[in-house]
Parts: sequence; C-alpha cells; structure tokens
Amino acid sequence: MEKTKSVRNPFPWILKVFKYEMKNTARILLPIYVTTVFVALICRMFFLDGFEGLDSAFDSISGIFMILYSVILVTSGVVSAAVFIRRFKTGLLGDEAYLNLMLPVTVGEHLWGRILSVVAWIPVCLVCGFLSMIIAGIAKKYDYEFENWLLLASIFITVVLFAYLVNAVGHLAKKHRKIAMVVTVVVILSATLRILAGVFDSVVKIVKYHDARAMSLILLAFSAIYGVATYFILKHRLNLE
Amino acid sequence: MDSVLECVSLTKKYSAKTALDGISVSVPKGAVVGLLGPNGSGKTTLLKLAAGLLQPTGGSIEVCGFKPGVESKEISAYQPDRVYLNDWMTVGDLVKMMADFYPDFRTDKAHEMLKDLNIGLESRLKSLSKGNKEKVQLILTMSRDVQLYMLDEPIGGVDPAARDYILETIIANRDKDATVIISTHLISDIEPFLNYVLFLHDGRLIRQGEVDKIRTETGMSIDALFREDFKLRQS
Repeated sequence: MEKTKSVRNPFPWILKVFKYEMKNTARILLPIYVTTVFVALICRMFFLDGFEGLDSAFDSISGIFMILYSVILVTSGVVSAAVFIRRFKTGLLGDEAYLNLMLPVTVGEHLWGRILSVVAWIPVCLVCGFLSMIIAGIAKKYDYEFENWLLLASIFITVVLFAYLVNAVGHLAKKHRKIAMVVTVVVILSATLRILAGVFDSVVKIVKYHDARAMSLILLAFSAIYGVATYFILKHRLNLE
Repeated sequence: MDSVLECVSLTKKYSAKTALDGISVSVPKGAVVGLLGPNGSGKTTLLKLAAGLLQPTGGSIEVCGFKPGVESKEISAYQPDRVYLNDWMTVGDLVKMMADFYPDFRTDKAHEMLKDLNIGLESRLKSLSKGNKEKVQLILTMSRDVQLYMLDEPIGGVDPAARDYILETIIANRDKDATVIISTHLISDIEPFLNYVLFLHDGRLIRQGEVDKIRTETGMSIDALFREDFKLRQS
C-alpha cells in the first residue's frame, strides 16, 4: 500500500539549491564583472575628460580600449544570461540531472533555487555595468532612473525564463531537439507578441505606452507564465532517456 | 515478505519501442538482487523509473512504499550507468554537497573509501579518469545509509582489481536489512554475492526468484543459466 506523503518546509531546500547555484555561477560571472569595471578604468585613464563619441574613438589606441570596453559591457550581459540558461540545461536536463534530480528536492524547489540565483545576480550585474559606465564617463542622465533599471532586470528575467521553457519543451522531443526548440521559440514568441499587442491596446488607455514600470510588470507576468509552464513540463513530462 | 520495490503491470514506451512491457516485480527486503539481461532488455529503464527519472507509460511502481519522488529519494540511492559528476567541483566539495542534501550521508565512510582507492579530496573531478569518476560515484552512493541501493552497471567501467574492492564495499557497507539491486552483464563477478535474481528480456520478466532455489531446481549456476536462457532466446 502506498504510504502518505508528509508536508515539509521547502525553504531550506530552495536555499541549498540557491547556494550551489551561486557557487557555480560566481566562478564565471565575478571575473567577467570585475573585467568590465577594470577595462572601464583603463578607458577613463585615456579619456580623462569623458568619452566624446565613436568618431574620436577610432582615431587612437585609446579608442580601441573604448570599443573593447563597449564589447565587454554588452558581452557581460549576454554571457550572464547564457550562464543561467546553461546551468538549467545541464543541471536539470543533461547528465548532471542524474545527480541533481536524485537529491531529495522537488522540481519546484530546484526551479526556485535557480530563479533566486538569477534574481540575486541581476543587481550585481546592473551595479557593475552602471559603475563601469560612470567610470568610463559614458553614463547618461536616463541611466540613473530606477524605472530603467527595473525594465532591464525584467527583460533579463523574462529572457532567462523564456529560455528555460524553450529548453524544457525541446527536451520533450525524442528526435530533432534543436528543430523542436526553434519551432517552440517561434510559437511562444508569436503567442507572447499577440497577447502583448492585445494587452497594450486596452492597457494603453490607462498607462502611458512608454511607462517602464507597466512594461516591467507585464514582462514579469510573462516570466511567471513561462516559469509555471516549465514547472509542469519538468514535473509531469520529464524523461531522462 | 516485505518488498522494497513493487511494480504492477509496469510499462514504459519510447516512441515506437516498448522498453518495459507490463512487468510485475516484487523485490524482497534485505536481498542482494541481480538485475540481469542482455542489452536493451529494460534494466536501465526499470531502475530509472524507480529513481523517478522517467515517467511510466502504464502500471505502477513503488519504492519502499512511496511513488518515486522526494520521499523515496530520501530512503533510496541510485547510481546511473553514466558519469554525472559536475566537473567544476573537487571530490571534497562534492562530498560536502552530498552531506548537505542527504541527512543519512556518512562523510567519514566516504573519506575512508576514497582513501582506500587513492582518490584525494582535493582532486578536481575534471581531472579524474572515467574509471575513477565511476569509483567516486559509487562511493557517494554507498556512503548513504538507506533501505534500497539501485546500482546500474557499477563495475562495468572499472579495472578488475578495483572490481573486487567495489563489490566487497557494496556488500560490507550496507545495513543487513538494506536491499541492493545491481544491474550488470558481469554475472560471474557478482554471482557469489547474489541471493535473488530478476531476468529481463525484451522488456519482459522471464525469471525471478531466490538464487539458491534456482540453482537447486536447474542444477546450474546463475551465470550458466543466464547464458542458456538467452542463447535459446536469441537463436
């Protein structure tokens, strides 16, 4: 006869997953953020009066540093998202899943631990990026506004959770997983954009179209939908074949 | 007789292939069980279903009275047939992680076995050979005090010298009431330790029972019986 399940406190388990996710991601992300700030410092040494545009940047060696800094700044954001997505893919869908999914941790606790680590890194990523921009002397007035930070953070979370869902759906395919993932991207993006268009048609009367806070809330709502869909796929359909 | 693994009409299909075809199994408590069969017979699928890494297509499976889930994972240990180690850690980090998640994990036992096999705690998992990685995995599994150990090909990738140590480790380190299910092709190596066997062929259970009883009834060793059974079926 099947025994009954006991109710347990999920928080200690979420924190344990969070701890190991932070440890893993820190060894890649911290050097990237430190490098971004360091290159900004070098740029500042060349542009003591502040950066005056790309025209002057191409004229000298100092310009090469500024281009290098710009590339590193953008790359740090892209690499951060890639690191979180890769952690999800290898940790819950790849070979490492044989270790992680045998831990006495529920799928929900695994997901929350990972999402929390993403949320914890976002301020670090934003602060380092912003700090480097101030150091390099390219920070503009709108970079100081909280709404824009919130919007950036929301976009980041949405992209990561969108990728979680795409990977989870792709994993359901027995063959041609990459094609399945591309189809999933097209389908979910189309559905998201259709819904967004519908929402903005009605919401636009209440909030301004360019209201960063409203946009952030809508993005976070979509993140929640992607997260819940990923949870149900992992909980009920996961097959590590 | 208490059962630690109970399957009723358990079926698992992968697209067109049926990996398990409605098998009903009852594994007795305290036994060392050989899960035997040729490649593709469904051994790994059965263990993965018990570990909760696959969802059954039909039928039911219970591990120590629980459906595969958090509760069953707390009281059972599973070692897959592949290397799953996260390369970025050292052996010591991984031991700490296991102790962090499993209240029944015995760090002293793990350290002792690692020392016996000359694997340093500071060794990076990335730098270990495949054989040593498999040894580390087995040590991590056997360092837990659980009711059921499920080992999928635990000695397949290790050298013959280490095989004896590993098999003795498996048997010596378990509680006398704990059950060990070993899936392997190397029957002659594990036969002296077995007291119960399950023969799988094409997803169906073709033989199960106590080793001594089978030997008496057939007059053959398990290794010889296995060869006989599967030679007949393949011819």
